[in-house]
Amino acid sequence: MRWLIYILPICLLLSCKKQVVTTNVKKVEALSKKSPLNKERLKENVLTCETCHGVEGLGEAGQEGFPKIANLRFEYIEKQLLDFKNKLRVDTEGVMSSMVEALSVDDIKDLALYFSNLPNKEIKRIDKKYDENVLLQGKWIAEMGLWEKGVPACFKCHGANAHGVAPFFPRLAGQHSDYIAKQLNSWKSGIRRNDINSMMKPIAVKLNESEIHAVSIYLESIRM
Amino acid sequence: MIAKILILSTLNLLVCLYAKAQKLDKKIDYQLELNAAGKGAKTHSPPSLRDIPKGPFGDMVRLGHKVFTETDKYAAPYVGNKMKCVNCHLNHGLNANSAPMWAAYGLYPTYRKKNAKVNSFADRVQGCFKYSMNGTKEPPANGDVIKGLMAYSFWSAKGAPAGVKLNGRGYIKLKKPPLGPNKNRGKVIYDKHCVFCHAEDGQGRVSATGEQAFPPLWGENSFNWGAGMHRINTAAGFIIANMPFGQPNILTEQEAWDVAKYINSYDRPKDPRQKGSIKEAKEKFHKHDCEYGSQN
Repeated sequence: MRWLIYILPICLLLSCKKQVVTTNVKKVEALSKKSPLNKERLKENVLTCETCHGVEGLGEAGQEGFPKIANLRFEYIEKQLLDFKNKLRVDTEGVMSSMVEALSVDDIKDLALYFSNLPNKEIKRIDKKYDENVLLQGKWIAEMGLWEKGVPACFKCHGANAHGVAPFFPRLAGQHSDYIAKQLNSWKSGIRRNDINSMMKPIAVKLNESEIHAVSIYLESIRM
Repeated sequence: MIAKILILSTLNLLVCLYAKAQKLDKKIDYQLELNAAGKGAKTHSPPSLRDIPKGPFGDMVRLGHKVFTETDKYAAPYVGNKMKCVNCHLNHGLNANSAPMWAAYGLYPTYRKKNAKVNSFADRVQGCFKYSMNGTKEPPANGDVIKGLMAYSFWSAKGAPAGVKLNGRGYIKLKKPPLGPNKNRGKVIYDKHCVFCHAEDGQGRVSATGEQAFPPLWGENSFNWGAGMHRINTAAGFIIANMPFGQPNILTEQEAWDVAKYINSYDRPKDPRQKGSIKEAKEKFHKHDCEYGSQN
């Protein structure tokens, strides 16, 4: 009977998680002009996404770079998923492409609707203490730019404090720094190239390692 | 001996080729077009924004920088649209070929045909508010808005010679394109390169926090018909060296002309100098490369 002690909390946790998803699906359905095509399928898909993107889409810190996807714009999430599906966006490990492969265009719309309507909660940070100098360097890049190298400020396109400019420029504020750094490096190396009109590549190639680190840390540190 | 001659002639050839490559490079280096002013045209490197001094003067420079970059907040009573200084003067007003403040500062006072009087730098900036910012009243010459902008411009011009037309001042003057500027071709360029930031309706885009992230290019919230940017040639010169944002010089000259024509073919607030009919104003103020009144 001792095994019950271990199994019960896990079951409880799982059912709680399912409950959260069910409630969220209902909320999203109320917001949606068209109801999700298949609620059960959406729930299943959401649970799959949340395996890596964390409960309520808040992402996970770590080298793999699982971004926070909650409360990003519908159009942005939809485009990224479609791009993964159409191999216009490739992640280094190929995880996203294989995950998205089985999704239909309608599944993608439903997922985009779901995650774009999740609340914009703060992510959990592994290391809550940021180095003051790194923050200052990052703030300068984000706010003022490094124009001497032709790098405009992040805020010029992603909005004041990088809260996003709909529908094409995603929120960067409070995003996992690992993810931001990984994307900048992916644009730089050419792995990622689904940015509209190649806007990010000419910027990313001009940033060095320490600048990428600093700006990513600073963007993560921005509170809501 | 023969080997020596061979080496020398090869070297000579290489030098020639290199010089030719340089010459070809210059042909597409739009910045060099300005050298028409002749050899010795001076350029200027503004100080870093990190080096604004401490103390009351530095505070005024910082205020000017705020006015420049957040004009809607720091000069609100004088702004009649949703534009900011930095929309047309990129990189905090410090980029060459983006009408940098360091190149303008040392050229005033000067006589201007636009209002047929000797203009101080303050007069000139007041003009910006009247036309580009479509303001209904000008900031007072002695107030903090003008003083701040002057302090900021003066600071950015540190070390630059006075009374000299510096390389990189104003916008690039493009030669007339082989095909006359065409707004239909311009729309194709607009839809491909501009629409993501400036939107289908030309009204720019607002950020999640409600600030005007990208400026409106036409309509009632844009610069008025008296602003320099309403001229097709000025807009084309601005566009080629500054747009798309972060990707300067990717458009051809023809494309810059066409898209400038497209943007300036829409209506915008009237020229504040217009007292009577559009026709009269067009005759008096707009006998140049623009579309004033063609919307009516």
